[in-house]
Amino acid sequence: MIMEPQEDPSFTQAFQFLKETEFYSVDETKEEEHSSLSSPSYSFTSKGKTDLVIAQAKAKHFIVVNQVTQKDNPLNGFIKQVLWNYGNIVPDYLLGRYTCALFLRISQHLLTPHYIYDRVKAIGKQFRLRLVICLIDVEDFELALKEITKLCVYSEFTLIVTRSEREAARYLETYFSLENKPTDVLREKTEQDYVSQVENALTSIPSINKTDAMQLISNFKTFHALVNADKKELSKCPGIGPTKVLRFKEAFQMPFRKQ
Amino acid sequence: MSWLLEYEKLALKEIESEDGLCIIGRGLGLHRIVSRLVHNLCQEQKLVLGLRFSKEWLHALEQCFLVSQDIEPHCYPREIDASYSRSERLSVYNLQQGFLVISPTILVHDLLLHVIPADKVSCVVVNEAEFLADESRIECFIVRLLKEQNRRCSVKAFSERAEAFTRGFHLVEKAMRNLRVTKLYLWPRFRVEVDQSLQNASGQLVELEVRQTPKMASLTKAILEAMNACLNELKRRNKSIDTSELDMQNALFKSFDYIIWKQLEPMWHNVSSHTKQLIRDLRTLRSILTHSTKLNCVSFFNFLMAVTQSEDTSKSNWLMSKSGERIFTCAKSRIYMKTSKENTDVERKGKKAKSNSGSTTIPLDMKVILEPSPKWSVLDSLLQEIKVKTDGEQWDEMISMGYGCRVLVFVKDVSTALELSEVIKSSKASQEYLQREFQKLMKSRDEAIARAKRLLAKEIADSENLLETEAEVVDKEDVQVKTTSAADLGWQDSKPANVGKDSFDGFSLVMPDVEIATLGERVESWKGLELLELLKPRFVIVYEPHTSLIRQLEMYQNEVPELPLEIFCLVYENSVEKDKFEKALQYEIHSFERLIREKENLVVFVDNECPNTEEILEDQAKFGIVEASDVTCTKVGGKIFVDMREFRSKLPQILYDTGFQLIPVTLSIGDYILSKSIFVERKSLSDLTSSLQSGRLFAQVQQLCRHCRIACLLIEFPPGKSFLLSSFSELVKELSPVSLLSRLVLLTIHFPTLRLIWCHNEYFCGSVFAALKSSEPLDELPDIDLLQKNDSEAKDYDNYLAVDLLLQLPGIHERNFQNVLNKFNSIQELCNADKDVLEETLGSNNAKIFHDFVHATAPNLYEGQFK
Repeated sequence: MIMEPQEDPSFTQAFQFLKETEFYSVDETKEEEHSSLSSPSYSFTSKGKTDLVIAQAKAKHFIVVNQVTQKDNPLNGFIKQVLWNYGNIVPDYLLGRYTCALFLRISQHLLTPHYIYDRVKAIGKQFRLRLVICLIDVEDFELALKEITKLCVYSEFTLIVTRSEREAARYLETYFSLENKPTDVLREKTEQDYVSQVENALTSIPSINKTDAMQLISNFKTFHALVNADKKELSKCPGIGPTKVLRFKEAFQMPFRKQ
Repeated sequence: MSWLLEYEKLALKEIESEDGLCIIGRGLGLHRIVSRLVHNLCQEQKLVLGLRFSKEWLHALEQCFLVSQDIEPHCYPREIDASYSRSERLSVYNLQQGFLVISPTILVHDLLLHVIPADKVSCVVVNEAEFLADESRIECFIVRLLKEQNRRCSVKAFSERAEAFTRGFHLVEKAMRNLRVTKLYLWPRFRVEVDQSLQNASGQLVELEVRQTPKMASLTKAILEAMNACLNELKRRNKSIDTSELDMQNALFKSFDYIIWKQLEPMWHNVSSHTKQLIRDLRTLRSILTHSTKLNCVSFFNFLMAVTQSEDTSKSNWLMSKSGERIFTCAKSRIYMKTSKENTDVERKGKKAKSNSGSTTIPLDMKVILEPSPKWSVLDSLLQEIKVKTDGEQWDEMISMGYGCRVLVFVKDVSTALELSEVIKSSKASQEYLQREFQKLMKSRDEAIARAKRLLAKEIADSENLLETEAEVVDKEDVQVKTTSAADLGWQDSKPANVGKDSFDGFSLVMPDVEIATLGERVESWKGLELLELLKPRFVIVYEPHTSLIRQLEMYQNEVPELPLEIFCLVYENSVEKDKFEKALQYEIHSFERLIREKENLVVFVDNECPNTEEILEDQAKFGIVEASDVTCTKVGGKIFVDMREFRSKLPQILYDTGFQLIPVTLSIGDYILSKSIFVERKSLSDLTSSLQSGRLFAQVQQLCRHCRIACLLIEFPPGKSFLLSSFSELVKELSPVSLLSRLVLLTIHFPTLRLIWCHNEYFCGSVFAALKSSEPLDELPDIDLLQKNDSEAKDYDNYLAVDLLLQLPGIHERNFQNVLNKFNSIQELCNADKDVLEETLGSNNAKIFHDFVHATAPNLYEGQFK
């Protein structure tokens, strides 16, 4: 049984601006074609909601792939690091409980510009993280990419752009496997050994390299002594020329705020 | 103000009559021409701007002005940096006279906001014009803005580095287009006019080839071998790169880094860490090579230790290779030698035995050698010779002729100058000096080997007697004397002189006036001539070959032909030092030849009489340069707030092209504000990698997402590069939680409201901004709280160098650094603060971390050595 997509009034409101852009034009024939194309899994109905719950439960263990839209996508073949299976879902891929993804080829977008708008609308704000994975497979992609970028920014989708199917698959795998990981890798590392601390600090001054840093700290022994060193002492170190000495002066002894 | 040589006058006339780019050979008086040009312009009471002038230049210029006295004091060169407030700047601009060197970001700011009366600027003088070949440079933007606001403003550009224009395609053309000039003036050393005006030289140049000691030679050989191995490995691992340019000859020069970077840049984020390590290794080895002839044996060993200890080399293969080992053995053998021929075990036993038995007469297993630099003895004998030549009355005669001092020695850096000042005190001084240095080195060794240290120190004392007899000076035979007239030499390579002039009362040698001058290679290389004019020496000794200096000596001789000069140039025979010097000269000649050919069919930029921006845009649209849709966007326009620091990149220029009105501000969050709700943080691919690794991006994004409705992260790929984050090999391997891709994924998982914008070039970026902005106009800054302040005068801090460094120090982070800024004036003050004061500002935990860091003693470089 084919269900008509039901438009939520808030969605219409939210995407009103899209209708005003140059990319939007109402094309009746295509619209019909789309809705006939779109299978049960294309929008939310009461049955769709049950499906969603089932699919989310499944997505704990493997990537759920939309059995209608992504049936013959060669991309699926590259998903090797994690398990995947077909399911009856609205987005193209379900990558864990809270993450979903739409997959779009630029070539496909150029042929059916409406497709992605409909899909985005159908998902709405359903998941915490919504992705559009955009595969660039033609050279003339700029206009299309611009349009997709704008769509994503305003409809709160996170855009991922790649050029290879392999990498697109890698994104899917990574999103799936990292969903519940903490942010440790991203945060600043505080524990470091003394040498790398000194190197980090000194090399933040332009033109100072790691060897210079070692040379200086081994000459002056402590950071304290280095900071208080005068020009002559600094320039005694091999490799520290007048430019570097000036930079040091500026970094160590000049005030943060002039005046 | 010094008078100019014939060709200098010609060059000056040329550039004065018509705007252009003037490229002149190293050391051929660029400085004097520019000074004169600026002087003349200021005399006409015009407002002149200077770009890329260093403080030293300005200072020298001021001296010129003071001497000439025909210019009013308020026209004197003035450097305008962040310490000037907006109103102060306005009052300076309103004088509409004088020579101003304004820091680039401030100048852009003032031009964009029309603070500076552009129509009153009569001329821009650009120094180091080679940098303007890259259109993303802020200077290009400045020239462009100026030209747009005042079409009659003239542009005079100068460059001394012809080579820089030949490292790519059509760089001269690009530079000229960016400068909006149509004339190219070339002044190589081999130009007839130059040659003719330099023919009056009356003195002579003697090149002394000093033979390296066998140990030095084998050291050089070992380093070259290691470099070769690295190079081969590099070629083997990167089949895709063009290897024709990557040979040992090129590897000796700094430009090699550029060549290889240029080749690898398109795939830099995919280049394996091993390859990057190899490139770093080559750089390290190159500096070792340079220092091997420059430093004395002890400081060289010191340097080598620092190199091995730094993280740069922690994964280096060459350290473990045979040649790497030889580098160390050679370096060590110049300091001490093990006399026993048994293996190390026996030696160690011997040592132990010694330490047990105290100072008994067990034969020493270690002999301190302390090989002096061969150049020292040559220098010494030269000075002796000169002393004989200019004894007593002869010297008085010379003074009456106008000579100012007897000997002027030119060296390249301060450490060498200090070293020489010790060494030439007496013939024995060199050994004493090395001894002292060696003692220092011994002292700096770790507590753990303190015992061995004491032992060694004793040995040194014991062997001192020996040494004195052994310290033989290099045989006189080793010095081959070649006499060449200076005019024959087409030399080119050099660096500047600046610092100390020390005169000494000799000991055994009565040398009342030996002056040692430091002339660096890049910075201030023009000071040589000034120094010569000031001191008027009878003899000049060039301790290290130096192109620009040789040319300046030539110029000096032509200026003062009545004071003949004898020049001695010390070079190691068959050494890399000599090789490099000659290669650099050749390179300059080739570059000029290429430029001359390029000049023949140069495509020049012609400034049409009446182009208004829209017409240009339409023209461009006609030829498909800008997509049609972008033209419509340009008409939309609107304001964008741009962080001041962003002006270092090319994007603001493109946005300006696209028709936006840029408002420079200092933003604490994000780099661009497009509308009330859209904030954008820009990251280039390499930035993205490093800031994801360091954790900086996490903090930035956190701030961004907290403070605005639509937070965007703009990922900027290098131009012409694909949208790929991982290499093929990475994709075949298993998932790695620390790869760039995974980190980015994790970031988006934790910040689902973060929007990504992917850009493959700045133009695309501009059109995306236009598309995003079209729906939401922006007139005022959305939330003043988020912005530090609206003008650079009210900025929170202006010493970026210091603040960047501050944030890298342990115990200091984005949450507490504001306190530090409020409490302390400078890093020095912070480091000297008491623990209690620190605790107040940083909190007890951070204060402890910081205090410990500042006062911790660095781990010893010599751990593991001398065992």
